[in-house]
Amino acid sequence: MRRKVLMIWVLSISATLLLLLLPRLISGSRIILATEILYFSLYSVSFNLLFGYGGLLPFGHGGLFGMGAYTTGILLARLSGLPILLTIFLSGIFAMIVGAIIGFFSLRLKGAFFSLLTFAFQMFLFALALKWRPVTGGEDGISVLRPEFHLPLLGAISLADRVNFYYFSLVIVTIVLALSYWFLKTPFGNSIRCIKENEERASFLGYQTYRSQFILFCVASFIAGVGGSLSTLTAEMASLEAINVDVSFAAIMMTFIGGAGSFLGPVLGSAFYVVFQDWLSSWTDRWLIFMGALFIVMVLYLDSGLISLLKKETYQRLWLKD
Amino acid sequence: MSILLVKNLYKDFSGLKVLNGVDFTVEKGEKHALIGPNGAGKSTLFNLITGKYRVSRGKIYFQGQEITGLRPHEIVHRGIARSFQIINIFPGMSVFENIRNAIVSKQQMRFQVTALLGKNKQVQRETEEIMELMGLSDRRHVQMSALSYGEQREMEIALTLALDPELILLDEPTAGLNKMETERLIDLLRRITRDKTVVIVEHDMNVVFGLADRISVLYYGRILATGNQQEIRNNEEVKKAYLGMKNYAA
Repeated sequence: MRRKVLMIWVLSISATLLLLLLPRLISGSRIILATEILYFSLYSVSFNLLFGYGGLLPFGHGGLFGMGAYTTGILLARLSGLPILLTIFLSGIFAMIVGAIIGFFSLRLKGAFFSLLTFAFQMFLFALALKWRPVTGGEDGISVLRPEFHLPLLGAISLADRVNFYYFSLVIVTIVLALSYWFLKTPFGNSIRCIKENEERASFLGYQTYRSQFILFCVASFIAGVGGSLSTLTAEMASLEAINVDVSFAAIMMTFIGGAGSFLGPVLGSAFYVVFQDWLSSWTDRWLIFMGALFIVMVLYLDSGLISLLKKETYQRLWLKD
Repeated sequence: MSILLVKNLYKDFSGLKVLNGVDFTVEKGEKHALIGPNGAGKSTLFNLITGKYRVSRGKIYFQGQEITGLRPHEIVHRGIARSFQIINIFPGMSVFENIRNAIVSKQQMRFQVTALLGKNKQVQRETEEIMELMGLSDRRHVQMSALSYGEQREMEIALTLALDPELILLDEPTAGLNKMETERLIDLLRRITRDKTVVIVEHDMNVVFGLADRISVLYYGRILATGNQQEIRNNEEVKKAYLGMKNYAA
């Protein structure tokens, strides 16, 4: 037991050091990848709030990510001078409002119907982004520049610098992830788990499925929106790539590959996904096939995700399976 | 005023008439057994009272107020809790976590996000109390799947009792238990429900006669008779209905 606690400490400290010193360790262009991993982590953790903890499988989660992305794009393009933190916050809020509408209808349905209705809503949002050129830029999207970050005592920091922006994202992502983790440990977080474990018994213990899941959906939408906002700031562009079906698919992949049964699993999955995709796409256009193949292998042999490799039981199980 | 009043209740499942005009009252503090052959509608009656199904016709009153048509969670918060015939617990959670779920609901904390659950001393204490009452304290961290059937049955009851309800509905609580386990459970029930109102559906007549103040006989959707043990034992209609049913022979 003491060894386990020690191991967790060692891992946490190494991870923290790695995150803080990363810009020193890798080249300039690679730091963008690290920033991508950060916002995808937020996105996939928000997905896992619904999937791993809530027992819900939305196929349209990318729509909320996209809402955050486009809100940031539009705000930065039209309201220059808006503080960056406010921009990010408003993007999350707007994604949450859209999420509330989607959740209101979708959560009345169960299983596959829920999944498909969320997907239908996303397709509507995609079509909106595609067609409403004056606002969204259509196929061209919206180009933006990262604004300066004004701190009360330290003055303005230019976020155009990739390294600065990496640290900025790191702080935001860490704070939001910490809040999410705390959220899951509250009585409400327990209610959500409880409903997932046995919905019928939960209702006979006084729990309200629809209302609880609706609140969860709104929270997850907010976080996804923040992730989307950071993606626009990272790429300096809000485009259809932030709201198409691949984004929804990516959430499922990242969460599953990393491990839906743990809080940090999706973070690991995001890191893997981004790095793997970058590596694969350097020598083939068809990287998605390999990603899909990996997904299948994971389902067959490692369905608790990569994070389960940290657990001794996984090896025993794999060994016995042969 | 009776604590529970069921008036002229009908339930029709797309043509299958399960309850045909049930009139049923329960007095506060009594232990009321509901017996009858399989398919008579006992579980359905529970499902209607607790809001799982909609009534086709009729009304249900609890503590003088109408509860017909309310949703399960609303009825729970009014003070009615039920246990299930088929064990219906939270499989992936431990004994402690299962009971805690009920306590959290009882304390109206289901939507609280301002503090950590693990730090709440009161919830912890109340959960411990229930576990001790049920004799499950030494199994607190055990997952449901690792419990014996008898222990799972006790958990099923524990979840119901942890809500501290005014009216407890037990649906065949001794189903599947052997004689010793049954006696143990009945003893436990007698102790724990001393000042509570209990309606218990049972097939085991030893349980019924050992626990019940009054007995109602539900026979194919209608209450055939209600009375104390003597009255039911001597009731001609009841005897006729149960003719040939061995387990009725006291």
